This record gives sequence, C-alpha cells and structure tokens, in this order.
Amino acid sequence: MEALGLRDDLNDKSAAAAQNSLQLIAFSIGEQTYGVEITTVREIRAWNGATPLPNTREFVRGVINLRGTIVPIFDLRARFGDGQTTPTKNHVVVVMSVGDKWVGILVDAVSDILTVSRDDIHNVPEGNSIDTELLNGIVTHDSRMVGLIDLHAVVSGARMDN
Amino acid sequence: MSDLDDFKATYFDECSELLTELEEQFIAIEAGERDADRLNAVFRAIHSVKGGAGAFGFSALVGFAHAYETLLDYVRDGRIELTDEVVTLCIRANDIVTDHVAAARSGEALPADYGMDEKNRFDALARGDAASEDDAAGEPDEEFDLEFVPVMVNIGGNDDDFPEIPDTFDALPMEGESGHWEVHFTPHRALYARANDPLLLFRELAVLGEMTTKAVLEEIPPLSDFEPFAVYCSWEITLVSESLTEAMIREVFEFVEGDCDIAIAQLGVGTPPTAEVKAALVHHEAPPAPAVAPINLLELADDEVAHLLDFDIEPPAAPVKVKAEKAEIAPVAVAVVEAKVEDAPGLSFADIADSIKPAPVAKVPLAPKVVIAPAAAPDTAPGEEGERRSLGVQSIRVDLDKVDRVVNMVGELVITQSMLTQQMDETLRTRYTELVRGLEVLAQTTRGLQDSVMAIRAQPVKSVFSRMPRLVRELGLKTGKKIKLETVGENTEIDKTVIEQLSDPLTHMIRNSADHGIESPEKRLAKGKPETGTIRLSAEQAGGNILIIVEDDGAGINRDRVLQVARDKGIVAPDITPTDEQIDQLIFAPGFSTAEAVSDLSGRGVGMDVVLSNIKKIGGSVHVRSQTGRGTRMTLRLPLTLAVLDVMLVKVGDSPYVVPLSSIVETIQCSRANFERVPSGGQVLQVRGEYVQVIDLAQRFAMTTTTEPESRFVVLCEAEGSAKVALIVDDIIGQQQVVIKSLEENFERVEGIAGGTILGDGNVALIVDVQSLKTSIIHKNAA
Repeated sequence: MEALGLRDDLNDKSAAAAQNSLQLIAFSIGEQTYGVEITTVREIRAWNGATPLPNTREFVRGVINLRGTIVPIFDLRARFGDGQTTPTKNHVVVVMSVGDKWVGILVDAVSDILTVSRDDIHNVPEGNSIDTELLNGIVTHDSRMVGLIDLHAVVSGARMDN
Repeated sequence: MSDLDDFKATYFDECSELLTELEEQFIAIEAGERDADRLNAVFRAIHSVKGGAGAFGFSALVGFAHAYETLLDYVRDGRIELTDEVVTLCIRANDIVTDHVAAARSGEALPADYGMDEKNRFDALARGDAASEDDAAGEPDEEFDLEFVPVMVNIGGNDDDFPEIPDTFDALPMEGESGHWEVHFTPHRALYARANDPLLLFRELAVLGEMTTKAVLEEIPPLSDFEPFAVYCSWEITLVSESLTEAMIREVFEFVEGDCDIAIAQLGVGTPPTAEVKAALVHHEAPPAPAVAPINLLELADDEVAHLLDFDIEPPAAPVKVKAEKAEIAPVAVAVVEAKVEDAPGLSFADIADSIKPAPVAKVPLAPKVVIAPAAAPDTAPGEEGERRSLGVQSIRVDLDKVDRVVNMVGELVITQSMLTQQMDETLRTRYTELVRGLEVLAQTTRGLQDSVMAIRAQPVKSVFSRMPRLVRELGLKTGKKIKLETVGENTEIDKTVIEQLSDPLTHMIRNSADHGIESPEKRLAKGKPETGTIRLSAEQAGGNILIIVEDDGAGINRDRVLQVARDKGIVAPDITPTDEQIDQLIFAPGFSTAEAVSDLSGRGVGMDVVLSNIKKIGGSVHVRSQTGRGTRMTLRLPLTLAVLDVMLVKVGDSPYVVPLSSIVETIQCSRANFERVPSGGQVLQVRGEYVQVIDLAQRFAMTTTTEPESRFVVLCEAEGSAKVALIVDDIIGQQQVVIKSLEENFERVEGIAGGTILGDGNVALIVDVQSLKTSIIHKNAA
C-alpha cells in the first residue's frame, strides 16, 4: 500500500525533481529522522555483523565484505555521541558513496523516500558543534524534522590519533 | 569529448613507449653503437611524438620536437657529426620532450621558454651547418611541414581505378539544358556529432541530377589552431536536372535540418552559368589549401563505417542498382568531394563514388597515409580484410584495471577452489570418487589459469633497470667518480605493480652507492682497487620471491660514523650497543643521513627510509650487508605477485586475523613458552637463548578475549633483517591463501593492519602488519 503510494509519488515528481527538488532516503535513529540524498545511496542491506577494526573510534563498527570489496561501517548513533547501537537483524546498513569511497552507515531503520524542495532546506541552528558539523541542513516533512547528514563529516576522524 | 580523450590517452601511451625506446637507443648510442638503424629508430620515435602532438595541438611540444627532429635529420644524413656533445644534448632533449609530454598530459603549461636553450642549440647546430651549404636548407623558422593534399573520396564504388575527374566546366550544365540549382551546405558540429556524413547526403543528392560539389576550405585554420572536432568545411553544390524542385533537395537534408545551414537557389531554367559562378569555380580550382574537414568518421567503429557504406540505392533517373563495397576508411576527413553524375541511363551511381576518396589529415604520422579505395571486387575483399586483421592482433592494449579485475577474480577462484578441496574429508573422498577427480582437475586448471593471468601482468625488470645506466652516468659526472654499472638478470619478470614501485627505491639505492659507497678514483687507487668503481644491479628469482640486489665495491658502511650520527639524532639511545648488522640497518631510519653537506645527490636524509617504506608497501623487505673497505650489498626481497598471499589464519577475540606466512618463524603453545618479566611490566619470550619482544594482539587491538592464557599461542615473526617479535593470539586456525584487499580503498590506513581479505565464509579478516606493530611499540617506548 505504502509502496504503491511511494511509486506514484516518484513518477509525479520525477520531472520536477530534476529542477529544484531533492529526493532523500530517510532513516531513523531512535525517534529522530535523518536523510541523505538518494543519489548517494548504493544499496540497503540488513545488518549481518562486521569485522571490528582495531585502533579506530567507537563509531567505526568494522568492515564488511560487499561483493569482494571491503567497506567500513559507521554507527551513526555512536557518531552522534549517543553510544554504540546494539544491532539486531532488523537493523539496516545503508551503503553510500562518499567521494570515491563506499561506506556503510548503520541505522535503526529506513523509513521513506522523501521529495523536498531545495528552498525548504533550513540552516542548522548555531549552538552545538556536533549538530552543525554533522548536518548540512534541516527540512520539514509531514511536520517531522529531517536532518540532512553531511556524509563527509560523518566518516572523517575515524582513526584513533594518539 | 570523451572520444578525443580516448585518442589522447592512446597517444600518451604511445609516447611513453616511444620515450622509453629513445632512452634505450641512446644508451646504445652512447656505448658506441652509432649505426644508422639506431639513428633511424630515434628519428622515427621523435617524429611520431611530434606528429601526434600536432594533431592534438600541443604546439610547444611540436615546436621543440621539430627542432630536435631537424637536428637528428642532419645527423642522420651526415651533415652533423654525432659527437659526444651532440649525444649529451640529445639525451637532455629527451628529458625535455618527456617533460613536454607530461605537461601536455596533465594539461599544465610549462614556462614559455622551457627547453629554449636546447632548441637554440639545435638551431645553431643545424644552421651553422646548413649555412655553409645552402641558406635555404636550414630553414630553422620553417613551420612544421605537414602537408595535406586534398584527395578525392570514392563514394561507394565498385571498380578499380579512379576515373579521371572531369573538368569542372564540362560538368556545368549546357546551355538551355535544364533546371540549375545551387546549394550551399554548411554543416554544424552537431551534424557530425550525430554521426551524419556529408558524403551520404551528397550521394543522395547525386541521385537527383547532375551534380558538382566544391568544398569551401578558406575557414581551415593553421594546424596549430586546429581543433579536431570543429567544423571548418562547407560545400557549394550545383545540381542540374530537368524535373528538380527545391522540395526534392530539401528532402535530402531532412534529417540534418537544424544541424546545418542550407541555402538553395535556382539559377534559372536553361540559363547558362553566369560568369560569376564560373569565376567562383575557377577560384576554387586554384591549388587547394590544406584540406581538413570535420572528422566524424573518427567516431565510427570500423563496422559502423562499413554499415554506412553498405547501401542499396535505386536512382530514379538511372535505375542501376549500386551496392557499395565495404570501404575501409582510415580516421581521416572527407576533404574535397568532387563528383559528377551524368544522368544518361546506364551510368551508375558508382561513378561518383569513384571520384571521391578519403584524404589523410592531421593524424598523418600516427596513422600512415592511407588512401584505400573500396575493394576492387567483392570476392577478394574478405581475404584482404582477414589478412590485415591477423597482422593486427599481435598484441593488444588493455586497460590495467581490466586485467586487475581478472587477476582478482582468479584469486577468488583459487581460494574457493582450495576451500572446496579442504571440505573433502575422507568419507566424502571414498564415496564420491568422480567428484574428487573433478576437483583435482579443477585445482589444476585454476593453477594454470592463475599462472597465465599473472603472466599477463608480469614484466621484465628491464623496464626499470634500463633507466639506471643513465643515472649512473650522471652521478659519475656530478661526483667526479668513475663508475660502471653492471646489470644481471634483466629479463626476470615481476608483477607490473611491483615494477612500478621499484623505480624510486632503486634510484635511491644506486644514488646512495655512488655517493657514499664508491670512493674517488684517487682513494681507490691508493687502496689498490681498480680506478673505476662497479655497481652491480641484479635480479633473480628465489622461491616465491624476487631478489633485487644492488652491490658496490666501495668503502662499505662507516659504522662508527653511522652510530655516532644515530646517537646524535637520538635514533639510538646512548647506553645501547647495537650489533654491526643493526648499525647497518640504521641507514633506513627516517631522517638519517651521514652526509656532511647536503648535495643535490643525497644527504637530505630522505632516501633510504623512502626505500624501506616503498618496499614495505609492496610487501617486500630490505636487507643490507656491508664489509668495511670491500663494499655494500643491499638486497630487496619482493613478492612475485601482490595478488595472492600465503597466510596463517588466527583468532584474536572473536575476530579472524591473518599473519603473512612469509614472516612467521614458528608457532609455540603458550603453555610451553618461556616468558620472562621485564621491569616495564611487559613480557619477553625466551626462544633458544634469544629474548624476543612480546605483543599480545588482543591487548594491542583492544579485543576482549575469554581464552585461558595457557591455551593461547605464540606466533614468532621475523621480518627480513630485523629483530624477531612474538605475537600472542587466541587460536591458530590454519594456513591458506588469500587475496589482499585494500582497506584504504574505502577507508583509511589503520595502524597495525596491512589490509583485509575475504575468507571462504564471506567474512572479512584483517592482515596483521608485523613491521608496523613493532615500530609503533618502539615509538611508544621513545615517547
């Protein structure tokens, strides 16, 4: 049902989308919704464990084998400073391309594909540096706040520097 | 314009090959082999570089290469003697050409006067000589002399020779004959981009009536400003036919409307051509300017060209069926199309075809001047074609990425195969004998496949070694020492990636030998050694490794000085007395240099540590041995291939790790190992009277382990020429082959980890970097 609605939504908007609107994959961490631009998403897969990487920060959950390539997994909850996620089979890894690298982001669930207008993107209010550093902007969708993730910022600083 | 980029890429590939060849030729020439063949080879190489550069508009490169070429030409025909001075100048010129090519490749601009000195010297040499003979001969200012002569293009064509091209005036309509139309056709770039070909349009037009075409060539710029994909050519076409209407002409251009300008004018029925038209035509009859037209054929694959030319037309006026034979058209432009069709019945369309043939353009030096008429007869064509093909496939140029993909997949295959074999236990073996046999065959085939794939990537070390004589020569000149280089085993083959990483370390090592090792001629004589020092560079295969050895008969490492400098720089603590071998290894320490003054050869303290890090990066090791007064020998041990690694699979915490088998000396159960405490609270391991540093991987990698200390294992490791280290792991699972995967591809370097690999069950295992674990400990202790 929802899937159908989604597809219609996509078709209607596809023409306009090219111009001023932005399509997002929305996912949730606890109660919060975040989004990344759909064009950066390569695939979405269920959590199936990762090989831990030594000497890295706690938000680096390790590496997985993605069809013969080693891809690092970042725990978005831990990246936001909320402690590590305790992943289950229901948790989801969103594989995205950041520059020329592929990374996976561990999130609680993928909720929706949203089409938003670029004009509706608000700046992140100054205040906590974590927010301004990790978010590119904020949009409102169905009266929910969706934070736009700055992927480059999320994956940086992963190494433990003594 | 990705097509153009492709052509450029090919050109640059060719350039690097040509430049390597130049280098080799000059080494031989310098050694005294000054025969005509070598000079011709050099000349050809430079000419090819220049020609391609001209086609792509790299004018600085063309200018320099031209001057160089002129000089070579004079040397070749004996007008200039090939003195040592000239050879030195030429070698320097090779560098400049290389720099120019590199600049063109990266799109950077070199200073405008780059290479001017040399160029002037060429000119001076050339002029000085030419002046004595004939002023005109030198012509140092002449523009490069690529000449393009418009050539007829054969449209379709089914027979032998090109018929004589009728005089244009004869082709003009006779008085009172019929409707006389004039069409101005100016194609735009888009027309060619959409793979339209004016030739085809003209063929269609020719069907309508008696046609004369004229190419307007005034727009064509000088070669230096020439843009390969720009449009410079337009056509004036006159058509004569009784029943011709403007609509019919327009119909021909229907598909290209919007992509070209078309002006159609009727000059009146039965009116003879005006004097003006005649004049215009006469004007165009004047010796043709260099004719270059847009090269849309370049964009077409061979078979596409064939397809375009392979057509059936039923001309309304003369219902003769024409089938054009497949014409092989070199990537050249259709320059001037001059065709005439008479509408007398019985005359076929092929006549126009015959009067048109392809013209070679800017690519001349790269693509030989090809003017290929359509094959004479259909039955002979395939034979010729086949022959040409079979000659062409001696070697192919393949993107290295593609080879790498195959190498990787074969690596995976080898691993899957070995995994399958391991799964076969005794019960299965006796029950399924056929399956076992099949697996054995599979194992053999995979090994064969692996060898063949590796052979594709393997290259003789010659490609690196051949750069060294040059280096030694220069070093000799700069230091005033007499040095000779001997190379052995140049044909030893190693993986291409390894070879690429080898050039820098070898350069540093040889530089080091020449600067620090070999003594001055006087010192050598005083010591009773031959005046000329020898550096010996050799390559040999030893098991799964390649050994590259750089050996000199110089003074050897001055251990006292090395130790003193190391102490001064805090690399070695004052209370430690290292062994001779350890002192020798100190030259690889970062920032280490014994040179009193920084010369431009060595002494900056970067160099030998670069050697070590480069070699480590490709999984190799460096070992140095020195005998005072007798010389130094540095050995590089390199893996034969980077693709597959023999490892031991171990467990730390719950995670799988692999340790390269090449670095493992032995494994010991912890319960049987002799651990001793040291004041820092750490442990050392005593093995056969030797005390070895202990690293608990679980602790080091911050993994929680539940394994009893007694049931853990010690993996004793040793990297070439350095102290041993004992790694403690939770469990040893077994040996296997793995394909190395980069962590940096999607992440970044992780300390203590050399990379990752994918196990048979699909999980990722990390490769332990023994060397970096050790160094990080040392740093920690220092801090």
